[in-house]
Amino acid sequence: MNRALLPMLIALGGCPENEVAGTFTDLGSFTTDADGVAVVTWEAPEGVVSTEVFCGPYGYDTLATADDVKDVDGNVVYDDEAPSDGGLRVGVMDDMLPVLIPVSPSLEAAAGVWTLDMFVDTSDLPTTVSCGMVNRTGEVSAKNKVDVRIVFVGVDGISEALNATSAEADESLQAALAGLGDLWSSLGVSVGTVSYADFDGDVDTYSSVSGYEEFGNLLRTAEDDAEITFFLVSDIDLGDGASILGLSGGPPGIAGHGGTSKSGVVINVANIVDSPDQVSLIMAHEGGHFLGLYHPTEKDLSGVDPLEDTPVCEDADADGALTSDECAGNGSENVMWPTAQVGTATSFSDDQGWVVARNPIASPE
Amino acid sequence: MFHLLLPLLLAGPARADEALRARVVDLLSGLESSPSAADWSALGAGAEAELLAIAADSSMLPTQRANALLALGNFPTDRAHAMLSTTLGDASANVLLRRKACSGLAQGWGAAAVPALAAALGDGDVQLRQSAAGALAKVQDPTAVEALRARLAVETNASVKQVIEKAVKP
Repeated sequence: MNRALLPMLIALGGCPENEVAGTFTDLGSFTTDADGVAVVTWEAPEGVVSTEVFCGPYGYDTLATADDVKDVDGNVVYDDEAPSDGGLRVGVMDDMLPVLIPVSPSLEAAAGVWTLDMFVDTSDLPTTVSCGMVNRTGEVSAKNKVDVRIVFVGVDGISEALNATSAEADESLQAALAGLGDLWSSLGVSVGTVSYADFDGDVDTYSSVSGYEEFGNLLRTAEDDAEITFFLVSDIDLGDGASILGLSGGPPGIAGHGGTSKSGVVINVANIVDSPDQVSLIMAHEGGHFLGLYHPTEKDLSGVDPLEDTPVCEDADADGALTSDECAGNGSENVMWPTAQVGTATSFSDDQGWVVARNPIASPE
Repeated sequence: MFHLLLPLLLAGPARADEALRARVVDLLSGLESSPSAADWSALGAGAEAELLAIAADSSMLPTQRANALLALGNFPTDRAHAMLSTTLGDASANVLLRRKACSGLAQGWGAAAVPALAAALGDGDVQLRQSAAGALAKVQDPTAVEALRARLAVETNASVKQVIEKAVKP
């Protein structure tokens, strides 16, 4: 939803419950010290269910992360010296840094002032970042829905009718969306309203996303609606030439606030005719990232998610890397497993459902 | 005695092949990450045969076949070169496969791949031209730059021109 339209919709009584576009707040600018640290504070309201702060843009040649995050009582709830401890995760991000609470049941959102000590890794110091926040208040339900917007980015050559006009009749796409609903059902989430649009930008460039800058620029075209925007493309290549299957802004994505490099998800649909089920899995997985979920265990053993009920896979053969076979029964059945295990990765955990139920763009069904 | 051992002798390599195939397919199926040269090296020389088989197998998914073609750049043998060249030159092949063949050729054969990549710059498919230009940009050789400059003079598509201009920028 365009924010310019919001007052009109409110006046007409047409703003739906949990519409987060209206809860976006511009926090203004924050300047780092000489060491590159900006102290960002934001206030979550009474009755908060989830709160997300985000700062940027600072471009693609600069990375930023959190030195630490403090809760409303001043307790450090995230420390980059021990990033896998506790119930919060903060990535090392180009261009825009999001911090979402909660991403696990062990750290719930609370009303009051939160503090992010944001570290911007640039030699051009001090520097200034702009920050905003999105808060969700209201009820939390066991059954929720997430609205979905599908943007076709020059993929109509992959199947006969992969565009906004013909999407409802495209068997492969509809099978993929039905599969997405099946996979998300174990999260307690259904696919809500589905809308379709054709990308109106430079299709020749963005149909095949090449590198993080193109990825971020494509996501910037997402709108402010309380939904996940899935950009369907014919290929994604992050610079080494290889095709990857999907990529989410963040994680977590910036919920319900468009115009940032973390405002959506890109899905490679090169396999949609041969395997709509794989596209279902990619959408469920990348959508899960957008909503605040992480890989149960990283395949390079670099970390685990902050949830207690997802399995941690051990490196049984001590070769420094995990394979799907090695983690059979111990993580590779989870939809958030980092390899596309179609037909095997079919489940989410209860904690994963707990997190998604509280995301700013999820709403009670 | 031998007849008792035969099944074991046959089963051993078969299981090993199955395990290797599973490992290769796993590497080709990453959601957000792609395997490194070290990952392929760790699998040993047997990985090349698996990659060739996957690249040629129309029952595999397009991205798996495409990534297999790219990965063949880590195994610069004559048969890998033949597979990549044939795929790139086949105008009826899935363009995703042809695009990854560009990258594989550049990675594995460097300057020797320039003629094939330069020819692909003239293809009618915009995305193939983008890939050919990107692959030539990765070849550290004056002949690659020469081919890119020649194409820039006649290229009409803005996105392809952008890739070429970025590549030839001093």
